[in-house]
Amino acid sequence: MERLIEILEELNPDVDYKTCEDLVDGRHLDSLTILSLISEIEDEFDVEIPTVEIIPANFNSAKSIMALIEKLQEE
Amino acid sequence: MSFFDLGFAFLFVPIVVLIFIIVPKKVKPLVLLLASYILFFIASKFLIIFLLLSTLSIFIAGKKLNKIDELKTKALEKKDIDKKEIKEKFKKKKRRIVLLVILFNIIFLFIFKYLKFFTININSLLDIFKIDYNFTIIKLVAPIGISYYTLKAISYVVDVYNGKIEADNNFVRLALYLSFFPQILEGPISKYDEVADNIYNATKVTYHNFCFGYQRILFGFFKKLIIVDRLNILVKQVFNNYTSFNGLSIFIGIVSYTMLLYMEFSGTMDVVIGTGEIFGITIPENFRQPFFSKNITDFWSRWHISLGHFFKDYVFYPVSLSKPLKKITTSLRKKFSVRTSSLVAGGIALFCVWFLNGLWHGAGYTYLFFGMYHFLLIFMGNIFEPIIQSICTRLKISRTSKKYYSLQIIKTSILVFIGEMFFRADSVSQGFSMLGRMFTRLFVLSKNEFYRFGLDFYDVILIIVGLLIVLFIGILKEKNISVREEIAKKHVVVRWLIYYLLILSIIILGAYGNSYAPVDPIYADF
Amino acid sequence: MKNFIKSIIFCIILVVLLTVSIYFLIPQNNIRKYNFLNILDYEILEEEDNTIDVLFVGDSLVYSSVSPMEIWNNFGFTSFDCSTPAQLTETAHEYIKIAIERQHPKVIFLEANILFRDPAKRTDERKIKDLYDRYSIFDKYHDNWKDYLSYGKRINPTKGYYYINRTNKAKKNNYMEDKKVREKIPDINIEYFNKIIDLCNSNDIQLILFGVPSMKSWTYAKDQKANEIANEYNLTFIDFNVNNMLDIDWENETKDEGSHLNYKGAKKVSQYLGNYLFENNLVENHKEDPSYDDWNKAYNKYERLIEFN
Repeated sequence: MERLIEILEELNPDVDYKTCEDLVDGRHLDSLTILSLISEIEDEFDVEIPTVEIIPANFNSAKSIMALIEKLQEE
Repeated sequence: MSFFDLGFAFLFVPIVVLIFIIVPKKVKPLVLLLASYILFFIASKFLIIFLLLSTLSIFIAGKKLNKIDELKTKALEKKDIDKKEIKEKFKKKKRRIVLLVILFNIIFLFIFKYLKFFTININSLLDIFKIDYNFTIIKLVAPIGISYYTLKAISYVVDVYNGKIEADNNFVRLALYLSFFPQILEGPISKYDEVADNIYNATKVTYHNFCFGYQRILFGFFKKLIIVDRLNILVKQVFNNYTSFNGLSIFIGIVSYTMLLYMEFSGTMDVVIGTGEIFGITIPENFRQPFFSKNITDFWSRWHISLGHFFKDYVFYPVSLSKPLKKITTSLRKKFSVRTSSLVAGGIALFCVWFLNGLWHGAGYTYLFFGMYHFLLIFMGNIFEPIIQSICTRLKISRTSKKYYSLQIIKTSILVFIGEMFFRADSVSQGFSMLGRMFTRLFVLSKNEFYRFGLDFYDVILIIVGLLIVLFIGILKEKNISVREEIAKKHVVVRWLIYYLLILSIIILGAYGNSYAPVDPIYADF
Repeated sequence: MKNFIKSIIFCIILVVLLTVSIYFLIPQNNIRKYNFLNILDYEILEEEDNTIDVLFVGDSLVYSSVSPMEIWNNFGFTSFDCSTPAQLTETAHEYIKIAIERQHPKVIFLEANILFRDPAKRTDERKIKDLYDRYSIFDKYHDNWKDYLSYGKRINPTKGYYYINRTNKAKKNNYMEDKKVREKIPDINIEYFNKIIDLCNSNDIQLILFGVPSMKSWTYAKDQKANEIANEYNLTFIDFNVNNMLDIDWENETKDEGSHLNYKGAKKVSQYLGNYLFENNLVENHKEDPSYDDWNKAYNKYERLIEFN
């Protein structure tokens, strides 16, 4: 989780990722940032995020991103 | 056809509502479907066959995809097999079907919308190579809303393919999704899981929904009749005679055009969403106060939202995360930062998005230019973002302050105005020459400069007051205050007074009748 | 049930408010003198008494082909289009009767096409359209508040003319070719035509027949018959259709494929008629008369309409 927040802060430092619940819906992350985020996560956590999973619900908070990573790691 | 025809809102809709109320529950979806087809038929006559073909194609494709999935599960149950190979095999099968259906739907779109542009260009190409042959130019009248329902059809099959939704076994539900009458002319391009069940399961028209729906419709009429049809006079004057206006007037003209476009399209959406509301159907919003955007990316998440979503989900991510582009990103990762290494893949994907976005708006160079213009703005914005960030930190400029935000809004709006100027211009070169005049002849006054806008004093006042009302409602919305809920809470006298004021202002102050030429629905042609 | 009653009350109040606003929007100059519904049917009642010297009476061909404001601007004559969609001869008679109670025109131009329109063959669709035309009050008058604020009264900028600048070119059609058929005028129309003539005679008005250029409404047979009638009653018949007298360019000067003229065509017809009045010295030029200043105001409005629409 800490590693994820580090990644996020590196991409856009203006947001408090511990509490923010609307990263996508509140437009704190634009699509190009999400792209960087995905490639960073795939590198870091050794998962592959399919395009189907790129929906606001999965990226709206650090918690939900983590949940997605864990789900993908299990598969 | 236009949703601002009185016949639609005050004759067609009430009749549908009435029938919808009296028929038994089971038949209700059929009533909506029939109403949709009747409306389509009124507007496009027998071209309705193409809508039916599209519907049928995605219905069959959905079922096929389902079947393949079933077969796959069965095949995977067997022991001693290479699971990966089987998965691959079935994936290929599915992909073939999806591509086929997409192609099938796109071909119609191509024939109706792009064939003329295409043949003209081929012909001029032949001319350049001195080949003495010309293809006949065929201009076809397209079925209404073909640009909208085709995208909906594509989104449905791709979502089924990805397993995001299950294929629909109910033909009526799927057909309704594709053709639901308020959405048929100008969208929004809703996704299947956003609206299909909602429409199919609509059961009653409550008093509350009926009132709220009509309020929303009336607000759309307000925008159209008070603002749009007046601004149209000025916009026409400036764009058709731009060589005789100075830079300031041209600037007023392009601001007016953007406002006209916004009011026309969002007003239509008010009618669309209001009509849905009457039946208790929530159609997702297509606009969210676009002129409060801090940059162009933000703007496009607030303007024609459904189109932006479509391109993001079905073009941007699939392209940028495709295998070859991913490889590039990974190899760049070794040398550059995360952000920079994603820029290549992201840039290519963005280019595709904006090329298609331009093309979707119409077959013409002005539209392609419009797309490329936005591509450049967004791409540059992303390249310069880190630089701006560091400059701001160094100069201790707070990027979250109100002042900074206001400047961002102004900057974004001006960029949008310029983009829409090219969008409206007859040619790209006209756009540039208008842009040039804005810089070189800003205050050169000529005879009757403002008289030639074609508006009298009262028109100007009405446009400004109208826009201020819309702005005021927008500001409240940005603060998450719903004006309609607020009004609903007020005492009945105040409430009714507001409604009467709205209705009477539309009827008396509206720009219709002998001395005004109404604007044709702009977004219906795309 | 409560909601139902509420909606009914809402609608009733709305209707009351609309009626009140109609009262204020209808031309104030005359509303007290005339029945409210008459003003809707006979646009000329909006005009000041005894100001109009020429009437153009007929159907849609008239209000799309004759622009009194063009005649005013070029010749200083005051005229008015007393025309209604698909007008019948009996309506024309009624219109003239009402008009001459308040105006003392010296010349009436009667468009010949209305003589051929059989009231017995009136379709239901036409009847519904008539009703709509009659009661589309807001369409016609909602913009009047601007006049009240600027001039203190209604200024009619078109004087019955219906401005349309759209072009929808006509296919080639030799409509004035002799197709060896005869056209008949219904008896009832003859009856009212006689009444119109009597009205004109007893009020010292010169009656002139004219046939507006129209590929779709006019035929060779009608032309023959109209000439016959003109001879029989010893009337002048201005026949624009024969040999395309005004050189109407059917590719550019019609708004609906040859049925009606557009503004460009209307300018030609108006110019001819104005010139006809001038050359035969039938009416007076009021251009410099200060009591006709409203006509200059109206012309300014008209000019704007033409320039920006």
